[in-house]
Amino acid sequence: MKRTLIALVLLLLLGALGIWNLRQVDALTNGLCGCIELSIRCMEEGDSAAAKAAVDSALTLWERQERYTHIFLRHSEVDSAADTLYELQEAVYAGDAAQALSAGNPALYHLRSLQSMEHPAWGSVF
Amino acid sequence: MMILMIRTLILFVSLLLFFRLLGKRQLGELELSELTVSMLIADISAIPLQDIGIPLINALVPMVMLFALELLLSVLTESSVRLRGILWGRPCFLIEQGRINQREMRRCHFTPDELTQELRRQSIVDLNTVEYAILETDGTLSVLLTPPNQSATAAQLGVESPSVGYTTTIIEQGRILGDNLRKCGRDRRWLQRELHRQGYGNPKEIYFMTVNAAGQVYIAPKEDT
Repeated sequence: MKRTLIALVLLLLLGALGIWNLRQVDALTNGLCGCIELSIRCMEEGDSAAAKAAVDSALTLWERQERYTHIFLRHSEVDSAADTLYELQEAVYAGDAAQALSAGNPALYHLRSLQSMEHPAWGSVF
Repeated sequence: MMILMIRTLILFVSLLLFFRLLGKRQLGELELSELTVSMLIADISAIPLQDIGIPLINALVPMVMLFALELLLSVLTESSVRLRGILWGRPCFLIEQGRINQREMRRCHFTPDELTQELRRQSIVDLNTVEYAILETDGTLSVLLTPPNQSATAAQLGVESPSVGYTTTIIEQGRILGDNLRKCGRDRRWLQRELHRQGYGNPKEIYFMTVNAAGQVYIAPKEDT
């Protein structure tokens, strides 16, 4: 009985950790994608101040979650995602809308891929 | 470098803990699921050990998961004979009433060579002396000799054999094991007296000392190195 209980508690804890991780990665990637999209939109509309604020808030959000990303996500994926974010910031600060768009799309793609990698699906399991 | 060392330490301690919790089984005496879990755990832990780009949690989560599943499986198989049979198989009677069961030999993929080799390991060279040879589910071979070839017991010989009980270690490499001393109902005064009686002045002179329930003492003094 004690062993069954320990096994069930462990499995439940792992399940809870898995669900928490999914929520965490969803919140992080959705937040980041929202900021990136806003930044690109602002650049297209010519509002570079708002674009800078949006990309900065994306980077702040990313850096604030550094501990989580390094514990739960593959370091190579984390590094690539960070690179794309910094490239977007560079483009936004350069004031080039076309460059911002071409840097923003890979960042969005990378973050969406990070999110989908953590979600159980036929593709990600097999 | 430091990260690798810390990761190695964490995984080493986790592996020790998991194998300890899985039970005290000797290698080669593992049941199918235990062998699978052991192999998987060893393999899983090796990957993040070599690549610090892989989060440690990628090894720890599967390890905990496998441990929990193994625990659950052991509980389920304990309560269900049928499940035990499905998962672990059943013992194979390779020799039954003195005759080699060739069908069972084929079923267990056991050759006559392997059978004689296993028997030789148990100091049995003549197949005529074997009444039963059973291949257990953990891969070990249990052998029952024919009655004329079995060792005679004290009862069969009508000899009185007083029990000497369990032998307890009292001193190991000069160190007195206080708990063991208490468990066998002795104290340090008795130990000192016993050592004096055998010609020793100090427990530090002793390499190994045991006492059994009958009070028989075994002493191995330390050798000069």
